[in-house]
Amino acid sequence: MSTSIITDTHATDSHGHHEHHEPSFLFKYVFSTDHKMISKQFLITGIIMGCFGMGMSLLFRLQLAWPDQAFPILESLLGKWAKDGKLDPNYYMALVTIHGTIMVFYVLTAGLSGTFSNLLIPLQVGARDMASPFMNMLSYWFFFLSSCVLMSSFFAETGPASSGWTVYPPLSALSKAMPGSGLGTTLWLVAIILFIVSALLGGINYITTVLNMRTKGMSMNRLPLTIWAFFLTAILGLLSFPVLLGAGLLLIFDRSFGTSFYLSDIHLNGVGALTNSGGSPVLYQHLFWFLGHPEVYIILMPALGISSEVISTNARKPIFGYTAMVISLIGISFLSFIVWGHHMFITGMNPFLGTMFMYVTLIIAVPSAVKTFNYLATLWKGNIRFTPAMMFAIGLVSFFITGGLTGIYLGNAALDIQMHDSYFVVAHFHLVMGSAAIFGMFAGIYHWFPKMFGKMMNKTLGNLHFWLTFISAYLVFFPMHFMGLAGVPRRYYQFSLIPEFEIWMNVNIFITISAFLGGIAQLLFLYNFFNSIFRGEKATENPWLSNTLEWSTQVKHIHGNWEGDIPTVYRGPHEYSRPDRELDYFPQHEIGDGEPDHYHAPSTQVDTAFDGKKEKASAVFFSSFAALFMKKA
Amino acid sequence: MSQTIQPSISSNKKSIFNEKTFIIWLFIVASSMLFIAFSSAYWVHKTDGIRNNAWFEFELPIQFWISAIIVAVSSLFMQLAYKAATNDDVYKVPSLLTITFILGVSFCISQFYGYFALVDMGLYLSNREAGEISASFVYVISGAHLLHIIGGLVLLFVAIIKSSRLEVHKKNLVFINICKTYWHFLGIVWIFLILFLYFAK
Repeated sequence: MSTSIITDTHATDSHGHHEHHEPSFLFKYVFSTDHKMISKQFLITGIIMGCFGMGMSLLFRLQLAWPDQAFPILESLLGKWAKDGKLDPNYYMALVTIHGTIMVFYVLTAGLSGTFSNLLIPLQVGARDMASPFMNMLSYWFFFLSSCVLMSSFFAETGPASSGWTVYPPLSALSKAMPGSGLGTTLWLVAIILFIVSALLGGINYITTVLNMRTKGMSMNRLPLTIWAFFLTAILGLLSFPVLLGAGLLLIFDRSFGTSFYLSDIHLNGVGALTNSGGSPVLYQHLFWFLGHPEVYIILMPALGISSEVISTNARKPIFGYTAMVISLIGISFLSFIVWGHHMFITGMNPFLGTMFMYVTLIIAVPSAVKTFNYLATLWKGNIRFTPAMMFAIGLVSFFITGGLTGIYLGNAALDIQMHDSYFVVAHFHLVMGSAAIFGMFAGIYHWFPKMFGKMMNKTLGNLHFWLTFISAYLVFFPMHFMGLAGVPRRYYQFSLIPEFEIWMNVNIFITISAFLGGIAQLLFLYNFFNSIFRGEKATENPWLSNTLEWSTQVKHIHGNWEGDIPTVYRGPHEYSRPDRELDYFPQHEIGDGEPDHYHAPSTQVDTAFDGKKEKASAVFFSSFAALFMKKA
Repeated sequence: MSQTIQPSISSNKKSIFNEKTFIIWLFIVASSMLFIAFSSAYWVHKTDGIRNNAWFEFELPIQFWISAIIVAVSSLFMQLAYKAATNDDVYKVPSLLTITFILGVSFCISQFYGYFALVDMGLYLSNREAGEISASFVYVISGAHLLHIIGGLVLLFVAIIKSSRLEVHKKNLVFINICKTYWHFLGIVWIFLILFLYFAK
């Protein structure tokens, strides 16, 4: 029997990061298992995909504003899809589809959640890395592969998927329904399946890390709200993405294996009636929206979590109602699973079922309002620092209110039947989900840029970026409410052909010009971002004088995060401007004067397990069968 | 045997779960959602199909029931292997795992015989008549489960190698615990699915 004293298990546990050796270029920058590097990979890929997504929106906005005008530059850009400078109608649909897909999944799910969950979960809970760094790396590479597959659909002869980002059957189930229904949709489905694998690998890791790898003292009620948001987002993804996988698999069977889960009584020109029938396209909608609605919160909740942290830090005040914020996040998460039917009011569902979906949808207003009021109460009488991150976080609150209010209209079945598939819906989700979430993402980038890259971003350019983006977002999306109320439908190629909608042509021009203004603003961001990485002012360890654990790490990144022991946590994350302290912040890991330290009491652990011994594997294998009939020695 | 004393700040807080075991539980949750989605789709489709006179009822092949018995017995051997490991009866573990593995392969074979029986009944994955969508569901649902079983067999294979190297014992139960949890899950899922397909007639 031997006795040994463990002196530094904390530093050596988890992944044995106590000895730092410099990995090769390939494993440091490409196949890295370091969560900080993986977060940068997610961010940069997300930004690139965001540029594609926004570029597509500008192209189809050109079409909507000047449908009868030829733009020769389009032909040189898009070739046969813009003959004589006029965008092809099928390609217009493809642009709308891929824009939606990229923004929802690739930018605001992977780009936002992937980036900040990876960066902040280990750093803010006090862990050396994720529970499984290898799975984490796989998660990024599945995402990257998925991005490549999706973008490769632009090189398909028949163009990318064009049946909308929801890829409803039968357009998506019949390869000859429209040009984009062929190879484009196959690639879309493959890309989304790869994406789901990535999201599940990431989500499983996030949940495990939060529950299992928190440092000493980091109880659940001391977790920063960012972590609560990422944690609940991962749970939503874990429960809903497999359902989308199921929906996608059934769609693949319908497309390629002659089944008819979603096909019913279809007659095709030149083909006649399909023999495989008896299915229901509405089934796809149920399965899709079971993911689709939680997906809204998968996008939004990380942004809300980021804003909570940024607003509290920059208002130099504790977040108002921490517990209420957590409960409202849990409430939103729960409700998000039972409201999917509000996307399907006009599918002919039983009115009683519709009423149930309507009520639970409207109840989401309660936790959402709690969050909004708590943000405002946190800002109230705060010693506010208007950093670019803070501006974007406040911008998020603005969009959350503006877009959230129209959700009350659309959640109402009687109103939704009128406004469904109109520009009112486009305005609603672009404000509450698109703009709010992207503002949360920008807030996160500006706030944690010093932690990611060790440099500061330019504040003036950041503020300019905020104002231009904020103004242009409202100029683009606010008029769409009025168009929608007047019955202007979404996804139409050319409104000048419909006399009733000609009065909206000038508004369309106005929106398009505003969209280009927004696009120019993003160029400022890109310049600021990449310029600051290489030429930015060097960051200090805790530039925002923040409380959370990530600011206790050194500026230079090391695999394992902390040089020595992981700090112990003594308090919640938002203790700003405490009257008993000279400084207006109180880091979670600092022990106060006279504060009792409950975490350093000696403990004894007795280990009585089998030590194991070495024998030849083949001998053990064969003797094992004999051992079945013998008593244990 | 060793006695270890952890006296200071540097000692880590003990987690309530092992991370790797916890990961498999989360994977099980995700997989369950996939099967719940398929089962719900089946249920909804069937209700609609019966209403529209477009649902073909048929008896599940006996082979699928035999598969259920095989997977239940394999779970028993998996549990015995785990128990042997927890008792440091390390020489029994590889054989018990091998029996589990062989039963797993038998399950796959039995499932394929089930598919052959369906084909003999004139029921294919692709449906030529509206009502035959019921058979398409059986193929897809059991096929998804079969893929999970193949994943489980890979895990079992690795566990057999590890146990033959005497790496599976009381002090090192993580991997066999993962295998056990996942294998029991697969057994439970198949028994649920077969009962669901039977009683949802």
